[in-house]
Amino acid sequence: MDSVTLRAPLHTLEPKVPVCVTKGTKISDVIGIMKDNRIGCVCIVEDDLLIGIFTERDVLSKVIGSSLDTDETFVEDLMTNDPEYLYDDDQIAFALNRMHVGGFRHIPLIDLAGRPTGIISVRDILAYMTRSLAENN
Amino acid sequence: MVDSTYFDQFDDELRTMHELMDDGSIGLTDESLRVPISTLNLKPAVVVQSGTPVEDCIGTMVARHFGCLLVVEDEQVCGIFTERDALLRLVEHANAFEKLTINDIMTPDPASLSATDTLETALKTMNQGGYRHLAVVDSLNKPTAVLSVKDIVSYIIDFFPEDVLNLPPHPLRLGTKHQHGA
Repeated sequence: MDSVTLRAPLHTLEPKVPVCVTKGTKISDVIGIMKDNRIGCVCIVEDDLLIGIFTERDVLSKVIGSSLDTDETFVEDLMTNDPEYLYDDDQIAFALNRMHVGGFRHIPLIDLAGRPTGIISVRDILAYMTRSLAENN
Repeated sequence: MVDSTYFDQFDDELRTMHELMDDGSIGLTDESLRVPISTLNLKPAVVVQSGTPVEDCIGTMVARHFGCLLVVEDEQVCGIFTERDALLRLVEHANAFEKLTINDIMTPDPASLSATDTLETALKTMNQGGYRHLAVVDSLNKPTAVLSVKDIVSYIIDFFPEDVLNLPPHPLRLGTKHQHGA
């Protein structure tokens, strides 16, 4: 695998369709959606535009062990606002950079209007790299 | 006093290295994944004793920004507990988990590696099981470290410092007027 592999656009990874919830969704519902879909991250949208991200790390650090009522708390109260995002024609190297430097495990992808179109996880990238190694060797 | 030819030689080597990198001859190969995982800069495992109250475990994970705990009994690994387990098994207990111990919610007998296993084996195990963390144990099943998916990313990035670390803050997007930070 050479550096050319890393310059490939993110859509090469065939990003998963993001699971989105709207601002105003109860935390209890968001957690139910995460469990049902077995995902670690949801995108929060308002008027179809990405405004935040909520991950299992947030569940651990902000929900579990706290006294808040998950039926009375809304996702916008606990989400990370204005998350780092990329476009699907940005290079894979940028996603790796964000994950390494920012310590993120998920990066949402958006279109030019700001609507979420995909989600890239650190495991997607590793799986891609292992695949390209297998193909090139 | 250092001979100036020393610097010339150094510059030459540096130039050759860059040329090789540019044409893609240096990079990540199969060989790079056949190294033992002990080559990676592994973090020591965060360990809790079997029977520890869940509340204490969560406190440790949150305070230390750790996504994974290893549970030991008689010094041997008997379980693993990750953020995913917290989401799947703990939320339903809401705020009533005072009586739970880590054993009630951990994944028992987790997949583990030895420090001499290769990175290739680690990647396969992670991909197949969908794990982000693997316990690294010695021959007596005592925990020595935790291998996380992020450790592997860091290892791989080291092969491409120019391509990954020396990037502009935002991708150069010609032809769009869209501003980052919407």
